[in-house]
Amino acid sequence: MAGLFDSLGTAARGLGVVQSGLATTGHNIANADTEGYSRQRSVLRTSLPQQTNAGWIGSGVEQVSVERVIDRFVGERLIRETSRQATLDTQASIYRQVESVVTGAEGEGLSDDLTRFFDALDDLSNASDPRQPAARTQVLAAAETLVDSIHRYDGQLRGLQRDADRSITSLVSEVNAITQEIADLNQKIAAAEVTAPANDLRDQRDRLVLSLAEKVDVSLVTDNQGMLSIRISGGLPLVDKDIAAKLEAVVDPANPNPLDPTFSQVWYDGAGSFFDASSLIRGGELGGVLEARDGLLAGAIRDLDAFAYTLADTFNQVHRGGFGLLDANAHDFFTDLSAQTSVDDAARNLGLAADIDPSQGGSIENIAAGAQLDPVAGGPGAAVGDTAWIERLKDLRTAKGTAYLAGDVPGTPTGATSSLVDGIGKWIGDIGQGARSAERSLAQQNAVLSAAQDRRDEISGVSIDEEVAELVKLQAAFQANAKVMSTITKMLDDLFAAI
Amino acid sequence: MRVTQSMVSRMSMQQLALQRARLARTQEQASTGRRLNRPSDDPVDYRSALRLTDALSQTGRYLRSIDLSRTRLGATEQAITDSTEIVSQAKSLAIQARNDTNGPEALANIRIQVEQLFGQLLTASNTRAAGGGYVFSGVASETPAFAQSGSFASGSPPPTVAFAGDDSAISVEIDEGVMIEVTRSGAQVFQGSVDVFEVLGRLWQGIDEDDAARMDGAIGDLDLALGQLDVERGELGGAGAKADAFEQKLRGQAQTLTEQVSVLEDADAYEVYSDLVARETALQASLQVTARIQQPTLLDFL
Repeated sequence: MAGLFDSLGTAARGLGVVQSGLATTGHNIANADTEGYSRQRSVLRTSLPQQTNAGWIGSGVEQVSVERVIDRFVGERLIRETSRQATLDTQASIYRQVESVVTGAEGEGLSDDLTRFFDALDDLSNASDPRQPAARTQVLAAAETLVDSIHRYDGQLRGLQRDADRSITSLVSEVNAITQEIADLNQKIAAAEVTAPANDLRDQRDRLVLSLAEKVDVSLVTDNQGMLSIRISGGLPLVDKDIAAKLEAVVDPANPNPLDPTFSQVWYDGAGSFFDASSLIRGGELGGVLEARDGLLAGAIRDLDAFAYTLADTFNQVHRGGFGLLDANAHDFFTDLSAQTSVDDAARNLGLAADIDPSQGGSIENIAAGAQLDPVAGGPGAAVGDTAWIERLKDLRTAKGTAYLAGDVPGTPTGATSSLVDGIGKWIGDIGQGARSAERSLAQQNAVLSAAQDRRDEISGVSIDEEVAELVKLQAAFQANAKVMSTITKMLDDLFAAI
Repeated sequence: MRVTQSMVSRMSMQQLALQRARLARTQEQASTGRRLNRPSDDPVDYRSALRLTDALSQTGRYLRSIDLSRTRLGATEQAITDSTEIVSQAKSLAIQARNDTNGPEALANIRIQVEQLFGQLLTASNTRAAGGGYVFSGVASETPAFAQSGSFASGSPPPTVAFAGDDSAISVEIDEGVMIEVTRSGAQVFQGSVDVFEVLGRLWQGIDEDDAARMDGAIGDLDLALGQLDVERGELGGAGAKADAFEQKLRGQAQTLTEQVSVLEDADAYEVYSDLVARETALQASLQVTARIQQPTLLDFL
């Protein structure tokens, strides 16, 4: 039969379990607002009963462990969606910047500069004496403004591209810091879990994994020792148990980026190899920035190049057919870029042709306003009253021609048939379209992420109500156990008194 | 479903951020009065607005061309009107000279008047547009259209006048692909089928030599010259009328374009303001709800 002392032990065990339950509840309440905290609960079981003549007699309760309430799949989904959200957030924010660059202030956009250039030509054709320097100077000034503003757009976009490139370097070092920490935690967890689950260390590691997921796209494998291995999207092991691989931002002189030789690539340094992994990194901020630098920004710059080339080429072709006042020679209006191997960099290289630019030793009288040589004097150039060719130049404002696309070879445009104004409209419109869909994807992803976060909090978050109810329950249990103990003590007293 | 504190606070924060973002957007529309503030607001409409704005500016340029063309049209027309007046005067002088009652002094007087008319005609034919070149010289606008050689001296042949300009008219574009001629070819106006200078010279010689047959021939040719000047003035009048017609058309077009751009770009004031009120209300509701649900827990009731 079970003795009173056994019952005393049962009550004592009960008190102990209640106290550790209280500790856990207190821990939960204290961490209710801690980012990434998973609520914990005591796992109890009935302790081993004693066999007596009368059968098995219960011996109370014992605590098995304290465990985190988590759902691994919910956690992994949260990681995945966090990664995706970070990519989209990065892209949407870069899109916003690009958009504000290409739009310009009201009335100060690229299309306004083009309009003003054609307006100046119009003034030249309407001047009753086109030899008057004012009208020609105005054309030159408007052309300079147009060229300057193309340079400015090009410069601003390249500036954004450089900013993106710089953030790659800092993102890479953040990734390295996090992976190193995870590797260290792996070691600590393996050591701690020889005895029991290291809940708080695991929470800490989960939080790090989440912030790593903000930088790159990760997939996870946990081994039976509790060590976590992380691979980035391409399958490269970033953390292998307690060893962290490194990423490195490298300017590779042997394989310079075709866009700008100073741009960094992301190289992978681990598992005995060292190679360029830029194309393997897709998700997270790092993936978003890489994509923006080499995709969106490079694309916007190259589209501007194509427009600049189309402008210079179509304008020059017509301009060469007319006559200036000084001679019968064909003159370019914009710099001749046809020697380039492709239309790339045309925006940067665009300028006014030396022939017409006084600051390069040319003369505004070389602007080809005339359609024929002076019919009375027979030369040397066009007659001063002849502005027929300006009409041909002005036609380019709405005339449709085959536009150049990014990367086209001079002489063989492959774009759509469109006018110059449409060309600008397409450039800005495409960026606007991209910005709009980036914004929309981000809004959708925010909703998805928020659902994933809600799901995680639903399972692992601390509910104060629940914890307080638990507190009340534990208090009652403590009182009851204490009552059992005091009853037994009293009985023992009675017993001792009888002796 | 378990609802935990962090879910509630995150949801509140997200709702507040969303409401504020919407309010900011409506506020922007209300304060700028524009629906399209950046391309991503509506990429398709933005492109259309860009194209229409350019078309509008081009219409403005054509209107300006029409305005400016009137300077040269007016100068040319005035010169031809003046020439007609001169030729009419010459004709009445010629008829006066043919009157047999004229004594030699009276004839000499008429002769001198014809010399003056000749000079006036040369001045008219070398008219310059205000701030510009010679209207009858075509594209060679810095070259006087007509040059006189020789001078009037009784007993010798009259001076001759040769066309020194360019035999063309200046065209101006007043709408896409529509040109009008704002000047006339000097050679055609003054030395077309009738050479007005030569006829005046002949009249002078007839008076000088008191040669009735020569004078009669000159009088007949002066009538032809008047006809020729009328035809040229008619052409100019036609160009002017065309300019007027296109001006009307372009003004209408500009108005339509302005309306179209406004439809694309401008926010509907009524809609925006009612949106603004609705969004403000929504934000206030969110704030109140947040303040209310953030507080109570079981603790409040134990």
